[in-house]
Amino acid sequence: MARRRSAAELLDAADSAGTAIQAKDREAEARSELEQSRSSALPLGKILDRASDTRGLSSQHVSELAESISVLGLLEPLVVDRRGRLLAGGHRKAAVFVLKEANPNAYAKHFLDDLVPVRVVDFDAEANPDLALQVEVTENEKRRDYTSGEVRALAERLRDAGYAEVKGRPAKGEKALRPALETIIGKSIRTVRRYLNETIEESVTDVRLSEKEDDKAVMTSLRRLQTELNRWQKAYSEPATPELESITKDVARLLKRVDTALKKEKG
Amino acid sequence: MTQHRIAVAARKGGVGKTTIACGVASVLAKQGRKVLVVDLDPQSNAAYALGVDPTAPGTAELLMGNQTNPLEATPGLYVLPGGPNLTNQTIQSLHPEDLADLVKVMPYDAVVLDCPPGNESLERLGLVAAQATLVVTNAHPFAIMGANRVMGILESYRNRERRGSQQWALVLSQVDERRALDKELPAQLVQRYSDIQHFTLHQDTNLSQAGAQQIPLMDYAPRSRSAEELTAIAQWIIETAHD
Repeated sequence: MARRRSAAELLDAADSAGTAIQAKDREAEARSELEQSRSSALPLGKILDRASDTRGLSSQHVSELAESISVLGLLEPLVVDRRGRLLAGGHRKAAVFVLKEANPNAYAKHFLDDLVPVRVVDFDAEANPDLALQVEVTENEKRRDYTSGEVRALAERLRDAGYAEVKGRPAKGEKALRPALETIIGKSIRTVRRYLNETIEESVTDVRLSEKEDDKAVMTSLRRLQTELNRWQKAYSEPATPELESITKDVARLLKRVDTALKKEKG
Repeated sequence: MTQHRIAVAARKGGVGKTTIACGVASVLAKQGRKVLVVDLDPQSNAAYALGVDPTAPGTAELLMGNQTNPLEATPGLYVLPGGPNLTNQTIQSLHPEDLADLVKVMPYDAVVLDCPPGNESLERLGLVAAQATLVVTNAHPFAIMGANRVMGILESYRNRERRGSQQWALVLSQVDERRALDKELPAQLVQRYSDIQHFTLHQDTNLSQAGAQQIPLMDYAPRSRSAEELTAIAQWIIETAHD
């Protein structure tokens, strides 16, 4: 039989486990704050700097980001607190400033009226610096994953803007596609290559076993859609605004098509 | 008028939060104070333990902004029942200071906030509304883990100079010294958490029976060992929990 631990050892174990869970408590809090954030836009000048900067900026990363933003716009909004203080996106914000200086035309095109897309997390970073730091860490860890289809669409837009697939180090004046994509999606160059070469047009998290499974998945999705559309019709049988009214019409049309498709699949 | 506000929290369930909250409230009421128990637990046990309707409108309705009348259990002892409404989205997303603002203007000499197990956002409402907290654990590592998490929150709030409990005490409950851990852990806990007050509450049939019979402790067994131990805790509350 294993040796029985003393009361002191048990207390040690419980105490350190409790402390470890406390760290998780804070992480969970930050994640739920991020999930509850709302999308918005703020004038560039109204976005305040972080009270204390947690890490320095890499000027190379900033200029690479600025270049991608000039072509694609800002894909990942900056994250700010309720007073507009920056929580996450230091590099992105610096890159927007660089772009404004270096390429006012591209800047004006992507940021109409100086407005920058942000996500507002509803708390005050000054009153709660721990949570602010945790939100920054969490946002950087869980920035969204791009599907291979999305990556290829981005690649297409970059190619149109003169980026090219080059082997090895790009010649002077030449713009290399893959490193640019690497900067944008925050994934290694190998992942980028895999995304570009993949033939299946679907999310990487979408696991399927066979064609048959595929059919089943379609049926399930159709049924879900049907339920949701029915629910909409019930909820908004008398639409209050012209917008809702036109949506309700579309919903009726779509519902008919879904019904037909389901009948055919069952066929 | 000074109002004493005390939260009772553990994070873990079944360690004696509600029993202690109701016991302490009963002591304070018997001493002639007008006392309110605010039950933050969706299981709504506090009102039941004190012998009033646990399904009546209570804490949830107060938090939703409705006029709510606490139920009178015995002279001077009032309860706002908990209940499943506490788990609704609106209440879960309240600001931590919302309950504090509501209770501090209510006409009671003492307010006992019975926090739920598990639910951090409801627990936080209680911790922030109080001036001091009783952190409850029994002599088992599972409960000590929970107590540690509560104390972590209390510390982070105090360090940020936020409203809420400035002091807390650890209450080791359900102690039965015939068990090895119950005998050894109290001294270890005092040593480990040396900067806070410690209380011990022994396993006592009178205490659990009071809840089961739905009679406040000081009416059920005023001369029991638990009554004596809870009176000591009540004394600490009066000395510590005030603005």
